[in-house]
Amino acid sequence: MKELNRRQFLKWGAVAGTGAIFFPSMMGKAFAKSLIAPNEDPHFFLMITMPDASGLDNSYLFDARPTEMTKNGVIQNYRKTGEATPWLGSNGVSTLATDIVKPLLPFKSDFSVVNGTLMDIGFDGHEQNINYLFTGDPFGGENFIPVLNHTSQKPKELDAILRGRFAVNQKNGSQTVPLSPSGAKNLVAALKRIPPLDSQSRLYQYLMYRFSANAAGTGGFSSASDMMKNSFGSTNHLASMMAQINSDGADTNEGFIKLVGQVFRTGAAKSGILVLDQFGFDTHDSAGAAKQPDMFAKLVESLASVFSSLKSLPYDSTRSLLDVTTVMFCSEFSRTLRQSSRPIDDTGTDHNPLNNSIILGGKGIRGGQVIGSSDYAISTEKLSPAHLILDKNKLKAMGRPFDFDRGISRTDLPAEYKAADYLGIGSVVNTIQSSFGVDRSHWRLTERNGVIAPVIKQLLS
Amino acid sequence: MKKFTLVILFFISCSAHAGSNSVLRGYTQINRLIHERIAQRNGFHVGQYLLGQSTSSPQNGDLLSLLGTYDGSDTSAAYANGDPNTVNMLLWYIDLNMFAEDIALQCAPPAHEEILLQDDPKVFPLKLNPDFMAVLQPLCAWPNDAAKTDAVLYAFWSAILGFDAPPEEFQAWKTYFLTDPEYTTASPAKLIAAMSLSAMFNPYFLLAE
Repeated sequence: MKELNRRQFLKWGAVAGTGAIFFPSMMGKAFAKSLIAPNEDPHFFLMITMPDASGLDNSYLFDARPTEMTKNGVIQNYRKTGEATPWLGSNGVSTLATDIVKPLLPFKSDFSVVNGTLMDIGFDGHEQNINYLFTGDPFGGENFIPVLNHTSQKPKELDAILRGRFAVNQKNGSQTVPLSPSGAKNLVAALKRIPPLDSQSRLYQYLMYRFSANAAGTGGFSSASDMMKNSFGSTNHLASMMAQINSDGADTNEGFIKLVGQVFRTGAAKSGILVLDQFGFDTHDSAGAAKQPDMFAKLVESLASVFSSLKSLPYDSTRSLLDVTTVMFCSEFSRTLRQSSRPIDDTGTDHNPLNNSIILGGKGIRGGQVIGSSDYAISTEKLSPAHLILDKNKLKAMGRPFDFDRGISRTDLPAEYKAADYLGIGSVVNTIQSSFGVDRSHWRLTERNGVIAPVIKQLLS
Repeated sequence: MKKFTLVILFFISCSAHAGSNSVLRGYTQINRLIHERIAQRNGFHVGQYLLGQSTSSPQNGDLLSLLGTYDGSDTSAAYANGDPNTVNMLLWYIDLNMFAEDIALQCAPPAHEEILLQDDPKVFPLKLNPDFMAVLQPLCAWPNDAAKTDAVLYAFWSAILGFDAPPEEFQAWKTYFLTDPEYTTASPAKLIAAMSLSAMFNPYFLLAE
C-alpha cells in the first residue's frame, strides 16, 4: 500500500479514521492500558462558576427569605410562586430554598450547601472578589486549583482544562489550558497528522539541549526557556493521552463534562473549570432583577445537567465520574436584599461580599448537609453590631458567626467583626485543599496576617 | 554623574527584566514573521497545518488562540496563553514540524500534490519568498561540501531568525548539523526539515524577549 504523505493528508485529513494509520504506536499504547498508575487513588476537581461579572442573588436558590420580608420592604422578590420551603440537611440544619432548585432534588445527597460564606469584605467589586475566591487576595496570586495538582501524588501534565473566560489574576496559571470540545477535536486530529515525537531521537535531544542552555540564566527569558524545556519534555506523554480523547459532541456543558471525564480518565489533567456561558445576573436595575427567576431556572437546569452527567458517566467499571471528582459551584459573591431608596417592588440589587452560597459535593465531601447560614432571616431580626458596622443601611444579609468545632452557625451577636469568628471562603478552600492533601503552606489565612482558616471538618467524608 | 545614572538605569532595567517572564510571541506574530522571512502570503497561513484551514489570526477559543493571543476587548484585553505549557509546545511542534517538512519539499516541489492542495479552498500550497528560496537552494545540494560552508548555513539561519538570536545559538546549531552522524550524510529533505524545525523551535524565535 502506498503511504500518504503529509501534504496529501492535509487534504484528506478530515476522512474519519484515516489518521489512525499515522499514529500507530501511540494509538496502540493508548488503548492497551490506562495511563493512570494502578495504585493511585483517583481524585479530581471540577469548578463550576459564572462569567466574570455575575454575583448571584442566592435568595433565589438555597438562601431564600420568607415573603413577609418582601411585604415589609426588606427584600425584593420577583418570584411569583409563593413561599420558599425548608431544605433540610442530613445534619439537621435547614435553610429556605425556592422551588427553582427542584431540578437539583435528585442530587440532594450528592452535595452540601454552604451558606453564609464571607468573601472579601473590604471590596465589593467583581474583579477583587473573583481574585479573592480563587487566590485569597483581591489583587490576585496563587490560584488554589492548580495547587491541587501538586500534592504527594504525581502531578498530571496539565493542572486544569478550562471552558469559558476565566478572569483571574493568577500567577500559577500556565498549565491551566482552555480546551473546548471543538479545540480538543482539532488537537486530536492534528496529532494524527504527524508521527509521535521520539524522545530518543537526536533532534529531540538537540531541541532540549538548546532549551536547557537558554534556561540556565536568571532573567525572564531564561525562565520562559525553562518552561519550554519542561513543557516540551511532557508533550509526548500528553500527546499519547490526548490521542485517546473522542471529543465528538456539541459544544455544550454536557459536552465539556464528557471531555473532562476523558481527560481525567487518561490522566492528562487534574481539574476542570467550567465557566457557564449564562449572563445577565449582575443586574442593578429593577427591570433586570425582574428577569432573575427565569434566569435562575435556566441556571439550575444547567447545574442539574452537570450533576446528571457526572453521575451517569463512568470513570471506570465501578465508579462514576462524580465518585472521583470534588465539585464546587459558586459565583464571586451574593447580592444585597434591595437597593437603597427604591420601592421594594421596583428595585434591583447590588453586590454583597458579606455573604455567599457555595455548592460542594462529590469525592471527599459529605453530601446532603446544610452548613452555615446568613442573618436577616426575618424582617424583625436583631442584627449584630458587627453587621451594622459593615452594613449600616441594612441592605445586606451577612454570614452568621460560625462554630467550627460543631459545624453550625452561632447565635451570638458579635460587637465587632473578627474574621476568625466567621465562615470565610478561605475555610471552604482549605477544606478542599485538605481533602486533596495539599501542603499547609498553601492554605488560606482568615485574613491578611491572620491565622490559617479552619477546615470545615463536618464537610469531609 | 552620567556614568552613575547609566549604572542605575542598568540595574533598574535588569531588575524589571528579572521580574517578569518572557512569553510566547503567539500565533499572529509568528505567522507574520513567517510571511516576512519565509513564505509568500497568497492565502497561506502557517496555522493551516494545525486546523486544516488557512487563517491569519486566532478565533475565539480555537487551537491557535492557545499559542498566545489577546483575549478580551478595550481596556480589559490581556495577553492570554503566552506562558509556555505542554499544550502550546505540543501544538507548535505539530505545526512547525509539518511546515518544516513542507519547506524541505521545496528543493523539488511535487507538482501533482500541489494540484491536490489547490482543489481544497481551505488550505494553500506553500510558496517560498524569493529571498528565502535563494538561501534554501544551496542547501538542496547537501551532503555536498558546497552546502556546508559557513556562508550557506548562516544565510539560511539568519533568514529564519534574523538578528533575534545571539551568535552562540548559530554556532550550536551549525555544529550540530555538521557533526551529528544522522545528518552529515542525510538527504536534503531530511536535513532541511530538521534544520528548519530546530531554527523555528528555538526560544529566540518563539519567545518575545
